[in-house]
Amino acid sequence: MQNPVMQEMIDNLRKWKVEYQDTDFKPTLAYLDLVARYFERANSARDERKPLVGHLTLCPTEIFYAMDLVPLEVAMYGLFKTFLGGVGSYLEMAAQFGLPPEICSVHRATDAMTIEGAFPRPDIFVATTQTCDNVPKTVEVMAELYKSPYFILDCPYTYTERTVNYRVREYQDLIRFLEEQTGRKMDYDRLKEAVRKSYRVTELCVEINQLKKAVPAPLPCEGIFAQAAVNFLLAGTDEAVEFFTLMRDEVKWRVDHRIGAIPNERFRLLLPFVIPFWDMSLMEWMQQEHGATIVMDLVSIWAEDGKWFRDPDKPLENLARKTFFNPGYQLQGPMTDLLECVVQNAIDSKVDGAVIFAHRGCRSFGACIRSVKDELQKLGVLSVVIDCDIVDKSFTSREEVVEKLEGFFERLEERKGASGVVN
Amino acid sequence: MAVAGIDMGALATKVVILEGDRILAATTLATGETGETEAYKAMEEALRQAGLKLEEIKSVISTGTGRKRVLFAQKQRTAMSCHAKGAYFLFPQVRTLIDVGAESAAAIRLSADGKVEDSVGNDKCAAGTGIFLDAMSRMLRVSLGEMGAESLKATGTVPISSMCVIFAESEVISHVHKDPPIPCANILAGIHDSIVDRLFGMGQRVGMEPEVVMTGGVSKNIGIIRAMESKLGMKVLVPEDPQIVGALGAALFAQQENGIRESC
Repeated sequence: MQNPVMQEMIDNLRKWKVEYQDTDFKPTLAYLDLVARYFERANSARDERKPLVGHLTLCPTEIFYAMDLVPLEVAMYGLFKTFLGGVGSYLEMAAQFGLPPEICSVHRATDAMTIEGAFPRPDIFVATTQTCDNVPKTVEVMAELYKSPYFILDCPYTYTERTVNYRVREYQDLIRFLEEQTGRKMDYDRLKEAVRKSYRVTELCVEINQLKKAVPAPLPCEGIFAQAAVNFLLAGTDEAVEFFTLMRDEVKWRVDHRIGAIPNERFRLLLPFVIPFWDMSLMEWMQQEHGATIVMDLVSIWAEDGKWFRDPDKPLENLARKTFFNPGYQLQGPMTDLLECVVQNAIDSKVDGAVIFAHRGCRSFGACIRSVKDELQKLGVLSVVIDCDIVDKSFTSREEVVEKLEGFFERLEERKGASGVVN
Repeated sequence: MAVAGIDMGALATKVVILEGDRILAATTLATGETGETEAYKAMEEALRQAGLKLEEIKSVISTGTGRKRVLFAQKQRTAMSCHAKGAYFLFPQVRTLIDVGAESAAAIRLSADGKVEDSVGNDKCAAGTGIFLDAMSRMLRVSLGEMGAESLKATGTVPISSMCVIFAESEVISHVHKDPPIPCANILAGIHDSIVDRLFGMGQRVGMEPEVVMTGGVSKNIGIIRAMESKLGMKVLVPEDPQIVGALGAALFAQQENGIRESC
């Protein structure tokens, strides 16, 4: 039996695809199809008698796919619901449940969706401590509400051979847990294949990131989140490899033909965090009103050019190493990782400025904002910090965000020598 | 050749007519519900003071929260930029500007050539803004105009710990009803310290460097200025009319836009 709330979202994704049918960026339509199919599989898992694994960000989807389990990234589901209509009612419910507003709204929404039964009941929950300390708590709450067993993967703070080995043991424990819960055995040949495909995705993403740095920047704003979403949801699958091959080919073609995301690129921007999901059209507004393209964003950036794949016969070691390379690594480990990432990408991408959306619920990133600003200032890169909530649109209105962005663009214009006055 | 800047804030609309380096007129009127009507009225008053007609104004630039409602303005500019521009014109040595209006406050760091290097604003919360003072004024039955001077008579200060205006009101009430009574001046001093603590915190986020200038209606309060000087350990500069600085900045941008003044 399919979940009607999830089905409604899938229908909205299909409608969204129709709205984008005239886009000149072909991967957008492929992306929307992929995501709709992903959620359709999650919604059909029970009917097809496949175990559904509810998980949060940065879990090893390769392991799930290798065991023919159906993954459902619950936080990502919440973000898509935010794009497609908002999660205001869930945030109210979270408050009624007793979750204070200081908790990240992504997690409040996720917990409330669980209470409401807004997604099919996962048979198992899995989370990693990697993204933030709220993640395992959210999974524990969800597991308790749904009366499902759960597993928390512990992610070490720093990257060393010792911590890679530790992580391998964590994955071994996870596999044992999944085998016990589902009655399925891990097929290690399938796992090696999934890991190989996942690495192919990384290679393509890194290639795309290099191409994105071209002048003019080739990737339109609609491609930014697509890159992160498909990687987080589908790493380890043929679908992801096909999608990123398409995206790489499209971006490369644009670079070869000097076609930018917008005709007259005026400003190149770095996004050291994410953009408010309740109004992604802010990126389009920046493009159209100010000729500003987002060249690079944190959730697309891999560590050390993504070279995590070593011995093809050691899939768990490869996956363990991937943990410290995949986008998001910057938030969990030492702050120096984040700062180096921001600085290097600001230089390589030749950015004029950085827009830092300071999500009020995020301590991992919030604690780093001042340091990020200071490092960018040393490079001469202007930055603006916009206090907001990336999911709860009642905290900061679009008008407030636009006001602050306009002030930022005035500063950029002045630097270019224009008067900066707008109509 | 005269230009005009109009700063439509939440509570007050300010107009400056500028010719060269001379301010020909500066007016401040209450912003009404429609905004646009009051903008016209403020403009008319400024024109009357300057002895000019609207047709003689080369360019009008609007700023402030209501800038998009000033339909007779040719262009707009954000409040942050205009306040920085106006403050730098008045005090070229300014490096930190703190603007405190009725409903918002901002801390802006400027470069030596007057460009905005960084800024942070508080437009979410009444704490640290004019509304906070207004609420306290009504509660303590001391007029807004007298609060500052009265606070300087304090023999001590009481801490107002709450960040929220509503909770701060409760604290003030409890201080008022203490036995033995706490002098009103001391409570006022605590209120002023509370606002300055917020503003100081904002300033620290952008990095406070001398000279520090304060603008906006709240800077007409001598108690706030002295409290800030005490906190900073240095003198704070305040324009003669701190409310018009945004409108002045907008007028300066109008000159720049029309080639009357070079960009800086």
